[in-house]
Amino acid sequence: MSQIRMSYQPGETPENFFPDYEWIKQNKASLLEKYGEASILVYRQRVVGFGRSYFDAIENAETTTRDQGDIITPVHYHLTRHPYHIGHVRRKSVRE
Amino acid sequence: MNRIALQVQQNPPEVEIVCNLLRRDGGHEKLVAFIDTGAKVSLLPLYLMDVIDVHQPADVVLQQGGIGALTIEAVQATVNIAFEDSSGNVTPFREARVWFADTEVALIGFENILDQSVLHIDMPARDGWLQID
Repeated sequence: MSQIRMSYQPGETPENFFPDYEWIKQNKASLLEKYGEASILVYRQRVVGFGRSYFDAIENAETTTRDQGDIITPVHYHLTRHPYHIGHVRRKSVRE
Repeated sequence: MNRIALQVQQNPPEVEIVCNLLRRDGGHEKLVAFIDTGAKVSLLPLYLMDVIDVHQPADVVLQQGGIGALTIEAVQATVNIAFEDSSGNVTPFREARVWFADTEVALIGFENILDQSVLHIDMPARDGWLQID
């Protein structure tokens, strides 16, 4: 069973982090086309999880990597077309 | 001062930075955020309140003016944040006041961060950096 790890020790950056982040940047248009505005988790240049939210993406990644038997240190990235548009903030009460 | 390389994109125009946030479990959470020179205070997704170490949370109502004026309910709080880049440059952690709102997008704004930084963005060369203590 694989283990998704999102917490790192001080000064620790997994070797895949910046290469995977660069891969996301290079493939952002096609990722947006495939997944829409969604949270994705990328590990070694592969989307291992996605969903509407960070936690949905982690849950999905736990399923897709279940038999991998490794510790997975994915990059979380939220795909969005308009990051600077205030409309991406939903208005609802945050303390319901 | 530490100089942190930014990820600059032209079309659509976006500037990103890699942040580390102190988690509740004592570790660090890595977060890709957008540099936003129109943001008085940094904006973080609400889900992070369940993950990272948050101090002095208080409910606030934000009035965003201009076209498409909007009233947003958010939580104002203090977090510990640091920055890093692919060349191994890292900053020490610093306290920053932020707003948590119901969004998935993280924006780095002025208070406690850009107001204490030198920000260089060269869009034609797709190059940029943030210099901060």
